[in-house]
Amino acid sequence: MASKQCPHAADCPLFAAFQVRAFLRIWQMNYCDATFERCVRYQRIVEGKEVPLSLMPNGKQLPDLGAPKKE
Amino acid sequence: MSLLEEYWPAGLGALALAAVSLGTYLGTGRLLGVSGMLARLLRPRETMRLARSERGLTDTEALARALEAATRAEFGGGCDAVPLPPPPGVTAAGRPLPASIPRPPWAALAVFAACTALGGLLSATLSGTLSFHWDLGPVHGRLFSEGPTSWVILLLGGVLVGFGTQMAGGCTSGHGLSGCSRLQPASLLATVCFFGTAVLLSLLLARIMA
Repeated sequence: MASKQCPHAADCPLFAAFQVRAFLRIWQMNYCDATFERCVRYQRIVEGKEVPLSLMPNGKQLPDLGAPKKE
Repeated sequence: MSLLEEYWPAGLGALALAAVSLGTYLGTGRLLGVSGMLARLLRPRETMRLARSERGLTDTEALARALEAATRAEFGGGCDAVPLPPPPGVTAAGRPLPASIPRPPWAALAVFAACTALGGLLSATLSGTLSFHWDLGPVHGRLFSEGPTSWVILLLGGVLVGFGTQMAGGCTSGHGLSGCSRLQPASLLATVCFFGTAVLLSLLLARIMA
């Protein structure tokens, strides 16, 4: 059966990250290779909106890694 | 005496466009796309907010830790319980994450826009054609009348161009230069569409004006 992968996978920096760690492939299997239409990153691209690198496929943001740590 | 002819030779223009495209890529790590840059320039708050949200993501180890935490939060123990095979050519330990390219700051977009205007000014000065006037030329006047109406039509044309570039995901630079040079099918199709339309419309107008 032909696989159905997100058409924006080649340009997605997060997809590139999912490719180099086995642990992260669960994202690829649940979003990029399956129902990519529910990926929030995909939805923003289709709407012509900016896609922050820190935006995960489930719509949650990665923490601000550059922010000073709280004591 | 002018240093250049009224129009640059086509070959020289092509070389200049290639230099700008390549220079943008080498300088920012991102492909040239003027309409996108202009859109980000006109949304300074969102552009700066995006840059802030990506702060620190260029640290690949910190990014890897953040991704691991996000994965556990989303899939819980499932990500450990399901023995996923490592990607082809990757050991179980994985490879370093690819470095992310920082987004150009808003100020860089402003400099680019200013340089675009300065480039036009310089070109007109060198060719000896620099002049300031408020009419839009005889052809535009014949087609769309003179005075305020012609300016309204010009504004509408600009809005349509902006709408079209957002809808098509790029303009002559993004699709025509960056996309076609990478043989991207969508860019090739988009370029055929907008250049083809422009050629047809030019021929039609030439016939009407004759």
